[in-house]
Amino acid sequence: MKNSTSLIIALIILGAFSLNAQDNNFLDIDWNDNNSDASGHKSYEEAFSLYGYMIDYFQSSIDYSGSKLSKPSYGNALLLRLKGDWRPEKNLRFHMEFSYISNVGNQNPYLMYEKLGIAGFAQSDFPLEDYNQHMFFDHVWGMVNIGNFDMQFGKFPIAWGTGYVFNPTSRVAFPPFLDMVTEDTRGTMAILPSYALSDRFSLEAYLAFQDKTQKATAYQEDSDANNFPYGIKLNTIIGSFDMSLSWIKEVFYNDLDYRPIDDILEEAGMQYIQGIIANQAIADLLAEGDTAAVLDIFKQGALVEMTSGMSTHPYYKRKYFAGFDFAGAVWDFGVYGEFAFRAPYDNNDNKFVLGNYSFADNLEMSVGFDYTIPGINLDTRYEYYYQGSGAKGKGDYNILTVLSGERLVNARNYGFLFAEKTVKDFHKFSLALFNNLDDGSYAILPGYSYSPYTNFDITVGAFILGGSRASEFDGRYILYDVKEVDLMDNFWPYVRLKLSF
Amino acid sequence: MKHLIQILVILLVLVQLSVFLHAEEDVLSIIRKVDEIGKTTTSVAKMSMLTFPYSEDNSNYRDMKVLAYGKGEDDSYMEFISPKSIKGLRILSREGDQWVYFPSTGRVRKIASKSKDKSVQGVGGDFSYEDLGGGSMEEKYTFKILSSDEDSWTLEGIPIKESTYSKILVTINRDNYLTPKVEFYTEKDGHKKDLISEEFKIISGRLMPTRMIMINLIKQSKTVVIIHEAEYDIPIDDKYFNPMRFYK
Repeated sequence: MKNSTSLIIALIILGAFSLNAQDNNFLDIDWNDNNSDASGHKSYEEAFSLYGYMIDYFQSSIDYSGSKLSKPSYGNALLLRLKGDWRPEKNLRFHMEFSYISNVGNQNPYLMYEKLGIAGFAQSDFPLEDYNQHMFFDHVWGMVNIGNFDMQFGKFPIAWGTGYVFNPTSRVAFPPFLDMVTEDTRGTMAILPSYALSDRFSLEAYLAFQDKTQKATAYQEDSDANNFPYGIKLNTIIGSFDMSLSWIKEVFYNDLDYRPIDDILEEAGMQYIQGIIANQAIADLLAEGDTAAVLDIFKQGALVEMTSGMSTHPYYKRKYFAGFDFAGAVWDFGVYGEFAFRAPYDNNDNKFVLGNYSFADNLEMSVGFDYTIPGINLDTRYEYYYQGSGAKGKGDYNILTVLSGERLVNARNYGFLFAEKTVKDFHKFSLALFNNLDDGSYAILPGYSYSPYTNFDITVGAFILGGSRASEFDGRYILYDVKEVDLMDNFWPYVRLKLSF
Repeated sequence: MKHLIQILVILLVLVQLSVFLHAEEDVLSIIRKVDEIGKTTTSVAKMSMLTFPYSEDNSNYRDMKVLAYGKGEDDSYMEFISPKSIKGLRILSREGDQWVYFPSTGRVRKIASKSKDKSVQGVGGDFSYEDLGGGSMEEKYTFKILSSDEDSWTLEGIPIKESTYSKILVTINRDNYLTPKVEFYTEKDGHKKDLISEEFKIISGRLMPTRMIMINLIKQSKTVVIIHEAEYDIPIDDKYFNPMRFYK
């Protein structure tokens, strides 16, 4: 941690020296033209632009079983993304993206939490809060170029890795998954210096100031440097292959209780019993007329609470990964791969312990290829994803790990197949198949897009989910081995409208 | 008599060889002049790209605006200004490799070399990655003269390196060595595309086409590139041609 942080700081200092060197050349600067730099390079980019898009997504949700269809539910998601670019000087950039999101009906995530019984509160208890609309700045960042040194700072997407669906080395924000509304990678508050050693080598690093969950609540522990995620990466080009080596720290806040229901209930029961015993003891003292003893107990309890300081939240999980990725071409195939090896780090003791380290359990990888079928110009892609930390069997699935964001999916082996055909620029047909290779369950996503205008397209499609009972995409989950909930219907037809401006 | 015939045969062979060598030299000198005319150390252009899904229907098209930088014969950088749906998309072509930066995801993707026949991220119209890639004609093709008249030569070029095309036919003006037309052929489709250059204007002291039309004869579509502003041989920041930081 110390060495890695030192390296990031060294990169920033290197940039500061470069800045100093640039300042020394101030006499050469043409003061009348802020679009040129000392070397005479002129900037042709737009100095200012405002643009964005709006997506309106309407989805139905139906359960089919044989020839029977359930009563459908409906929902609507509206996303406005307003983007702005400013270039006050040639080597300075500012970018911002403002989001307005409204989710109603079956598109409101709170409905799922309530269905599962994991919502922290009833929405009806807070009638003045709006659980449908959100407005926020997702990306707000600046970029400065100084010689071969670049520094990005603010809130911005940090998207490492070469995978298309899964990115084992991208560990700072939740990626969108089976999501037809979100297009932009979520921003993270961070600083990212990078230095190009040549046109074939570069070193980049980030130091983030918020954990992966980007939770809405603030705790004292957020200011602990131990809870700052970071990553360091060496990029290189060898032949026609791009490659990188990285070292990444992920910090994740998770207060969901994954223990078996028996353990949870036993602990709750013990607390309940201890409460009854304490109450009984106080009642006995009062019955004996020993009011002073009761007052003593009350005072001691109050003093303990007053002097205990702020309560701690031991829910920060820290993981370290060694990463490697590549992208290039072999024959007629574009090939890529991305690997993350989780280091044997003990989260409780905050130290590295080899112990019973299992390589297979700690590897995460995605490898794939893309290929255009000649003659019919059909673009295809196949990606295989391995998640060593995934459940080894259906019985071990835990929906809470997915809902918390700790995992994107539950099992270990997945395949993703995608095919797309564009006809006359206006029509696009696509088919995606996402398959859990362990339990055989699947999600099929057929879609058709029509673009009558350059900045408008309409897409109709569906999610078709299936698999055996209690398989991952079947939609029925067994909570704590005692309660089955049908979390997802298995047919979601949708219409998506996108207007760019 | 026998010796006389031998000498005559040798002379004929020598004459033929000399004609062949001379023709070869002519082709090379022509193509070198063509390369020389189009050669720039650097270039910057603001241009529009109009894609017509039906080449005969001029009312139905899409308009894209691109800022393009070029360096030497191989390196080029493009930034899409419009349409707004792809604004900020950047493409770097360098030494036969291509990288695309997607602003929405913040990710840079390496483009597999064998996918170069594809339209550039679906926004290149009838220009494929290979068409937009740089390189001199002499380096990319072996040429021979197919025909000539008093105004022009027609040269046939066979790719030296791996290419999606099996051959190209280039029409070259005798008076200025400009190429008003290039025909592209593939093994499978035969005559696949025509690149027509027109509206030649003097920009930065050079006579350059300001309108280029790529017609795809198989798809019956066309793409028109119009250069609105351009400058040549000016200093351009190296970062635009560095795969490690062209998007920074």
